[in-house]
Amino acid sequence: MRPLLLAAFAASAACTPSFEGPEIVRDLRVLAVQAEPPEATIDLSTGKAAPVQVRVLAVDPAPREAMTASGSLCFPTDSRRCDEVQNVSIGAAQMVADEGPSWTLQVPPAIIQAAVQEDDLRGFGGVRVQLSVNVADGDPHGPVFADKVLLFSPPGGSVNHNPSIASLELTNDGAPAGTVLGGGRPSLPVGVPIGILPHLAEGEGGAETYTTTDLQGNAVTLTESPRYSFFALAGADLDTAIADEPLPGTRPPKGLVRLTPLQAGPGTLWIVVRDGRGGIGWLAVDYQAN
Amino acid sequence: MHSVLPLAVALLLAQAGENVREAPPPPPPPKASELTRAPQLIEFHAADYPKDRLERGETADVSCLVDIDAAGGVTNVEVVTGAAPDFDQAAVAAIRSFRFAPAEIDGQPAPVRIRYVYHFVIEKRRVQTTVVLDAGRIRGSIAEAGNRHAVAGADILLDGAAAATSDAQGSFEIAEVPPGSHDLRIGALDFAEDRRKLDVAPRGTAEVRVYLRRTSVGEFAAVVEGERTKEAPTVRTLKHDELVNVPGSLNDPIRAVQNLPGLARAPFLAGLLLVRGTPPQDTGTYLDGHRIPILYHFLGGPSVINEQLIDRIDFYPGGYGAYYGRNLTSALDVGTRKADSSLHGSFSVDLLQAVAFVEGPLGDNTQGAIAARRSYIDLFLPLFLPNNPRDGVTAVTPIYWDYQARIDHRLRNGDQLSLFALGTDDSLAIVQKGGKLAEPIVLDTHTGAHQLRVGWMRPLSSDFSVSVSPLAGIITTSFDSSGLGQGAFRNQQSATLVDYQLALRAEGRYRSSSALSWRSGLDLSWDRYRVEADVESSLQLRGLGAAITQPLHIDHSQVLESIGEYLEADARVGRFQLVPGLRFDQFFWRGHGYGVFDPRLWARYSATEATAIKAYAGIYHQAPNPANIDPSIGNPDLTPERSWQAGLGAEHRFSPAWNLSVEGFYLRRGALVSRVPATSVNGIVDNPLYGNVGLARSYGLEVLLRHEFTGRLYGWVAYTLSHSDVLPLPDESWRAFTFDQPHNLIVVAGYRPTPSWEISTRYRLVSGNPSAPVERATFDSDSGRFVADAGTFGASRLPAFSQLDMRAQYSFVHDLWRLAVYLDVQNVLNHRNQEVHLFDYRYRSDGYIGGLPILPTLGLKASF
Repeated sequence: MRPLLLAAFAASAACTPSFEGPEIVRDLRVLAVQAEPPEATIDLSTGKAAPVQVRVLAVDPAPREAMTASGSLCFPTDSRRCDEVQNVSIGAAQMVADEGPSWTLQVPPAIIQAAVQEDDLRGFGGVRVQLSVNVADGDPHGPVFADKVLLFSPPGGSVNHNPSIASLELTNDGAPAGTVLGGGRPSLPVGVPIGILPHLAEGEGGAETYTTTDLQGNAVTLTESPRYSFFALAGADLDTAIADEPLPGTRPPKGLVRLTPLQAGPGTLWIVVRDGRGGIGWLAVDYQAN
Repeated sequence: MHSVLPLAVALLLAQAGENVREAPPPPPPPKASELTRAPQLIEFHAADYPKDRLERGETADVSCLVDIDAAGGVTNVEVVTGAAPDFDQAAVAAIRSFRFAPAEIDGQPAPVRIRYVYHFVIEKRRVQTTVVLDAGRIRGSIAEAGNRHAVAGADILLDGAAAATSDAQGSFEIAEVPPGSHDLRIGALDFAEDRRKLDVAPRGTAEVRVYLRRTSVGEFAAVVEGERTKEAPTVRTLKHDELVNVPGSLNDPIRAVQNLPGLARAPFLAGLLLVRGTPPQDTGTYLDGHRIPILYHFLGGPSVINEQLIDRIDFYPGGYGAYYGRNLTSALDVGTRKADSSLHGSFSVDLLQAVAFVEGPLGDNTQGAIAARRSYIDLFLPLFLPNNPRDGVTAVTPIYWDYQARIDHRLRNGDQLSLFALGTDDSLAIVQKGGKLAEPIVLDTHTGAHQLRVGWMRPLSSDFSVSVSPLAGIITTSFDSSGLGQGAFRNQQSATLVDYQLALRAEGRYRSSSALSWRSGLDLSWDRYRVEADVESSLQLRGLGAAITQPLHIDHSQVLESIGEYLEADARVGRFQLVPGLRFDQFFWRGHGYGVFDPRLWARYSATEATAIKAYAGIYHQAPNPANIDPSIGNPDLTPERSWQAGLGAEHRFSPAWNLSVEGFYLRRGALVSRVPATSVNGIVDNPLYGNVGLARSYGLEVLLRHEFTGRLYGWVAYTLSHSDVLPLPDESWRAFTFDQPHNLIVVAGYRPTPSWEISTRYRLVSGNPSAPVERATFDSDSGRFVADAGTFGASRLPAFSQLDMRAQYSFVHDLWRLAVYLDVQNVLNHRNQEVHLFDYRYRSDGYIGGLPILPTLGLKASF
């Protein structure tokens, strides 16, 4: 004799809380932090690192104040914050219209030294320095915190480059519905799911092949497998928040994500791509829903 | 004329034969003590029939529990069902003067408790006044309706006069019956009287088969309940009938063990054995002394052993002797039973599965039993899934089947042979409903196991016996998947692991004197693992963000051998029992060999007949998980994990039915396998993946107040107060064990007001599982996810778990079969328990995955 586990399964499913997903931006959010270059050079004998340009993709559909950002540098921590360990402030960010906060950073040798010291691998595979930033614009929940690991390697290795989204291929139920290039402003029908397939730039902006160290300490050659994150403003629906770059030779006919405008008017779609090595790029697309 | 019929002797013997199942047969070392000889009444004294009652022609039955010591003397008589004070007093006085040939357990005289019914009967003997030339005879048999078990000691009255009494097989014969129509009345204690007309032809024989219907409870009474030899300081034994009907246990006896003290509550319907603050892999699960590869079917499914084959379950929470090895914490041994010597069976069907069981004789000295089960959940699950028209619903459901077969044969020289086959098979099916999926999902996951075991046991003398039990098996695990998610889960991956298994258990037992006995044995296992896999693996020593994977092909074999030898002495001096034991285990894998000595000692002192104190200490070792020593994904240089245990406890029996056990324990585990970080010195990377660096400790107090299984009532109150935490890496802080539950209260009670009804209930009040408080979260740009800054795991807890379950069962009894109908309602009060604490993506909102809501279940089972 056995009872109805079926009912139990169904009942358990019904008892799972329903949270809002990350794909709809309703208030202040940091969607990405990019370092350029993603893997800067360092002279390990002196601890002198090359300067790094940092940009933050911070958005808020209804800011109450002007956006400000500040941050600090430290060795990587479990909390992703620098406030509980030795750190160096990087001051307030430079705010450029339509581009968000940015800094040009020169990591001090003391932080480099601390990062090596705290690392189990003593900087093997690159010295990792944690950048912790906070962004505020009067949002009632307070500032938003984000972190990004800045990677520094001696010259001569497989230097990484940030991925870059060159265009978006749009589909409607599998049929071609246009292409969007950077700066393009497409018109989208209300209530119709539009498939979106990002295309990476050729060369350094695409999936790179590189040499690294495997789990046993041996050299191994790998190819990046970029992953996309999708965001839209309220008033639209995205059926997924994350998708991987299609396998070579494959092309999903309905794109990687379906964007459905729910109301007429302007909207914004953000696509962030990460290469798994610290490289990050994004594309923001303003659209008009009709 | 009157006399007191000594029917009790026949009744006693018959019931002994009916209720005592032979040892979990020959196979494994005779680890479980068994009643090998029932007590024999050799000195009967008639009771003084109360005079006034005799004059009024009053009769009575007085049912008693009788304690018989190892010398055959009666030490205690307790009236269970009395008639009247004068009858009861006379019966008790008479029984106290009885003398028995003592019962034997494992061939040794031992104290037992029996149920004895004293009948005060005024016999009207049938007097044959004339010789009837054409006389015929009546032959008959009497059985219980519904199960066809023989009814011994029934009174057969022919035309109002006592004519015969049924024997142990329920048979009777009446000779010299005049031809013609006769009135036959058959009556027996606890059964409704049967009356019928019977025609006897001249010189003929009339055959009659009578099925008596039970009128009072007692059907399931453990009539002969011997005091089992103490083979461990703490062993908690539950019998089949106690186990099957515990509410919320899904009629699964093994799952019912989770209601004993020392076990943490497993989430949802999981059958995890979380003993004394340790994970399931630290508890050994056995079937008749041999390790069983899989205990439960997938995803909260039933145990792989048909409940009809289970005789009892012995649970050793800790401190056990040298017989069991290669477990850090505890052992659970499921004892199967020998098939009945008459044909019986059962069949049940519900929405999940169909189960069939048949047992019966295969010859004069041979019995067999076979059971099989097949699920069909995948056919019905879509009916219960909530619909989501936009995205669709995808669920994974198990498909399983299993079989067990057992044959027992007794040779002419007394040797016992047995053959046991076990098979189980699980696979997962994808059930999809609604929506349009962007990518197809493939999930072909399969686990199958087949074992064949032979058992042989020979009693060489009354003091020396040997047993040998070889086993061969094959366990296959495989999967083939794609489209299950992002990254590596998107790509096609497949793996097959086959474990070719050989094992042998052999044991000799020798009693060198009345105060000293020995047991020694071998416990061998040999496993050859064949691995073939094409998987996506993260090979990069360090990345940033989502792991970058690439195909990895694995194709190799590895052998894991374990050789165990043990010796244990059992010395008894007066009220003191001292059991030292030594176990020596050798492990071999990948060119590595390790030998570990596990000394163990336990002692017991019987302060009085009713009270005993006990203490134990011991060391235990177990090999790492085979995956952890695989060179492709683990570290072959790992060493065995170890633990040491100590405990102190007391037991007290308040009455034949009520007893109390209190025990404190301390368990420390070391050299636990943990994932360790890679290190680098001067550019040279050292990445062992796993190391024997983990520590864990648990301590607590277990209380068990139990009402033994009697005819009407059974149940227990189990309470555990405990603390368990772990230290995975030396430079980290101690944190709570995942299922650390400081307070765990379980009340189980079952009651049978009539033979047809059984009502049972279970209530659990348990501390919530530990959690880590989240103070803040940071968006990690490299991974695209928020990372919580959480406090120590265990610094916060889920709310306490509270659940009341109830069950009612009614049996419709026909002559040859019965139909049981039950309603099992879990979480009767629909208490909203919280099983898992969840947060939204940025840790601003939280919520819970709830436990089971109120869950009624209706079931049917037919048996014959």
